[in-house]
Order: sequence, then structure tokens, then C-alpha cells
Amino acid sequence: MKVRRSADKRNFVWMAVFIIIFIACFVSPLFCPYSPKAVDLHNVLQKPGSVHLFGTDSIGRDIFSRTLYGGMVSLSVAAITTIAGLSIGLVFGGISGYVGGKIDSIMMRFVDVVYSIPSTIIVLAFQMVFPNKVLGLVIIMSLTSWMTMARVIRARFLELKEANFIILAKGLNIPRRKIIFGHMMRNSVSSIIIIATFTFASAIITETSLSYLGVGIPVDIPSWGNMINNAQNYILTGKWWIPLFPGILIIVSSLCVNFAGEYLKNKYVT
Amino acid sequence: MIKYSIKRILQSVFVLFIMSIFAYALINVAPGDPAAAIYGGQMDKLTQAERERINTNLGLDKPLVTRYLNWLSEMSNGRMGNSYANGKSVNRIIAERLPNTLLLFTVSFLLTVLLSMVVGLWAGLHPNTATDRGITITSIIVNGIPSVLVAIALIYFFSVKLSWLPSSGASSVFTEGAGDRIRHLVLPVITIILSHVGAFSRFIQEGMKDEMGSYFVTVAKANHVSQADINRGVMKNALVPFINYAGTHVPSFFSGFVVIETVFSYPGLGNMIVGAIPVKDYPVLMGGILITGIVVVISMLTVDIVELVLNPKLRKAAAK
Repeated sequence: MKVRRSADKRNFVWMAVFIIIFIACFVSPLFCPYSPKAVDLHNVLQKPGSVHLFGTDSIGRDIFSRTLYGGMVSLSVAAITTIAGLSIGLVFGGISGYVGGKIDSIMMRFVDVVYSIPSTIIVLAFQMVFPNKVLGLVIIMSLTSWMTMARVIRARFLELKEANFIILAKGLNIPRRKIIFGHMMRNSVSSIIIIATFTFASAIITETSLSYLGVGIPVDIPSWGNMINNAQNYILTGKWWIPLFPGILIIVSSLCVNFAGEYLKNKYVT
Repeated sequence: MIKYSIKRILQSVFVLFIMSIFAYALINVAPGDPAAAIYGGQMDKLTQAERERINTNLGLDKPLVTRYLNWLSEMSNGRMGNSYANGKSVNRIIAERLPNTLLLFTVSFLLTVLLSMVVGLWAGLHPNTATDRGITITSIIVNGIPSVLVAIALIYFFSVKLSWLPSSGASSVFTEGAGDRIRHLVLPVITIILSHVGAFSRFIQEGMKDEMGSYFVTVAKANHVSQADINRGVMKNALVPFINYAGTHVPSFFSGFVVIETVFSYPGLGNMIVGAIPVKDYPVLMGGILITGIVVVISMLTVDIVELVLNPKLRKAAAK
């Protein structure tokens, strides 16, 4: 399907917005007037204003600084999770698709089994083992986000295995390493990138939900999820500005990544 | 057909087995000991002997495999132990909460399926119109917003601003009855529907588009088959894979309940599991995970059976 020019333009806007958020978060230590962790008990629960752009929370921390710093934490966690999860999926799906036969069907049954376990519940159980550790969170989020990748790569490999140029390459005694990495992987790059964007978007959402529940990133580290922790209580007591700004950033970045993924999917798959 | 069913049931049992082993092993390598959970702040006052006595009473001095087998046999006899946190029997805690989660699941799952069928089929029958594109974009947006934030926004508008609906719980203290229960269900159900309806309806929409472009449709059109008849056939073909798709998303509904029940303080299984974590209440957590597993497996089997009844192709394959 040919993508219309307007879709190209719209996608450019989404990408640009996301890149601005990304850069703003990662260089925030350079220009933020307040430390994200500095407590100021003289200025608690300030509404958004000229001194504190986004206001302050219940112990006087500046929400603007915290939102940007939190973005750095949340986006890093999401990015590392995506890379780790995709690597697992790539290896698992690659082996399953390349080897095929009985091993393939056993490995795919395993994916089915992992799929039918509600992932949040597994993450919660895991968080008891590694409580309050960012590394633990990243590990368990990666372990619950590789299955889609594995399925897609397997399907792709099964399909490529029957392709004439691979059969030819095998016939010419080209080393298996070269066939796998040079030909099969390379021909799967577009699928890999598409899955990566969706995995990244869902990793942002998972971090948010877990930190909201108090079992994600440790509470002393600001992150988007931690900042909306117990947000319904702030809302019910009229302190709407505390969860509002991180909430907006979560939604905007998740949408940007999702739309970018949709765009890539339309452009390269169909 | 029987062979197919047996295969599916065996697979479900395997899922449950893996889940129980996984959860039990995980919880047992966790640091911290249950004596701490029972005594909390007064932990330091306990002598070594007292701590050992507590651990022996809870059976924690035996090896891991023995403990797992003991626990499994207890579970299969329907005895899930007592909560470490308050001593109440886990059976009773779960019996109080399971109906709430089941109600939430049944209502939200059926409504999600119905709504996405209406939206998806409609969009599929009117391809490339403004509304079709609008539905696509809306479903991407709805899909991209975390349900926590949807829930909080709903609380803000419907509970705080308009005070139409309650923001938490499953029933009020003073006004009882069905109407009250329904009022408490509205916001959680809307949140769950919104978090899934986007992906669901897009699945149908894209299935419809694929079918519309297929060869048999072109042939039917060339032979003057009426558009209504073609639509009927296409809709049927697009809906059959959707049943399977909906079935594979049952686990993600239960994942969502953990978060949504917590936001709305809805007394279900998810909320119970979240509550058990900070106090390291192993029996409640294990019971919760296992019961959730059983519910998920049964729901998925039910969807499978529905699929088998509706899809003649699958029935033929299963009969072989």
C-alpha cells in the first residue's frame, strides 16, 4: 500500500514531538532550576505559577524538574527493556524458525504457555524477589515482553527458509552464520523495527502501571509512574496539578511511539 | 473432536502446573522471612528460638520440593492455608473476592467483544471513508493511553466534577441492591473496555479489509451476487479469527484488573494480590495467582469451545 504524502508529514510531526520530549528529558539536568529531589517545606503544594512552572508536590519538590528527570528514568527503563526483550525474542524465534520441526513446535507451545499467564501478576510476584531495584524491574519486564517478537521472527524465518535465494545460498555452501545474520536477519529488519516501536510504547505503559501500584521503580527515584502514584487521591483532594503533567507526558510519548509504529507498519508491511 | 478437546485441556493443565511451580519457587527464593510478616515492627523482640518455632509451625524448615508437594496436595484438597498477615483462611478471602472479579470480567469482556464487533464491522463495511479513518485513529489513541490514566480521568470527571458515580468499592454501605452494584461497576468496566476495544475493533476492521480484497469477493461481484450477500459472507469470515483473537486476550484482561481494581479500590482478586505484596503474605499471593490461573484457563477453554462450535473448518480439522 502506498502511503500518502500527508501521512508522511503527520508522522514527521509525531516523531519530532517525541524527539523533543526525549532530548528535553535527557538534558534536563543542564537547565532545570531545581533539583528533582530537593525538598522545600516552605513551598509545599504550590499551584503552577511563574516560580514553579508546574507547581510543587506535598513536600515542596518542583514538579517541572521531576517530570523531566522522571522522563529520563522512564524512557531509559523502557528502552533497555525493549532492547533486552527483543534480543530474547530474536534468539528464541530465530532458533525456532530456523531449526523447525519438533523443536519448533515445542518452543512455540512454550510461547503459548507464557502468553496465557497474565503478565502483570508474574511481574508482581517477581517484584517480591527483587524489591526496590531498577535492574530487577528491567529484567522482569524484558522476560514478559519477548513473545510477540519470537512469534514474528519465527514466522519470518519459516517463510524465508523457503525463499529461493536462501535455498541457493545453502546449495552454494555459504556458512550458516552468514545465512542467518547476513540474509535472514537482514531481511527481517523492518519487522524487527516495527515490533520494537510497539514494545517500547507498551514498556512505557507497563512502567507507569507498576510504579503506580508501588511495585515499579523505587519510590525515591522520580519516574513518570512514581509521580502518578496514588493520583486518584490527589484528584479527590483537589491537587490536580501533581499528576497532570507527568500524565500528559506519558500519554503524548506513548501516542507518538504508537503512531510512528503504525506508520512504519503501513509503509513496510502491507 | 474429543481428541482435540483433550489436547486443549492437557495444555491448560500444563499452563497451571508451570504457573504454580513458577510462583511457588519465586516466592520461596524471596528474601525476608514470614516471621517478619507476622510480627512486623516487633520483630526485634523475638528470640532466635521463637523465630525457629514460628518457621517450623509454618513448615518452612523442610526442603523446597517437599514444601511445594505439600502445598500442592493441600491446594488440591481445597485448603489454601491462612493469611500470614491476619490469620484469616485464604479460602474465605478468595471466596469473598472471586465473585467480584468474575462479575467484572464477564461484563467487561462481553461488552468489549460486542462493541468492537459493531465498530469493527461498520468500519470494515465502509472502507476509506472519513469515519473509517477516524475509527482507525481513535482506536490507536485509545490503545496508547495507559488504563491507569483513563481511570483517573474518569474519576475526575464522573466522581469529582459531576459526582454521578462512585469512585471506589463494589457497593455502598447504606444503599444496597442491584442498582448500587451496577453504579459501582460502570467506571471500572468503561476503563477496561477502553483499554481493549481499540485493538479488538482494528483486528476486525483489518480482517474485513483483507476479506473484501480477496478473490472470491471479486468473483462474486462479477457474477452479480448482491452486495448484502457478499457482506454477510465477508463478515462471517472476518469474525471467525476474531473469536480466537479475543480468546488469546483473556490473560491481558486479568493483567489489567490488577491495576484497575487498585485504582477503584474494587474488592477483587487483583486488588488482593497487590495488597499481599508489601506484607509478604505468601499464602494469599499464591492462592490469588493460582485461582487467577484457573479462571483464565477456564475462560480460554470456553472461548475455544465457542470457536469450535462456530467454525466448521476447525471442527473438521479437529475430527481428523
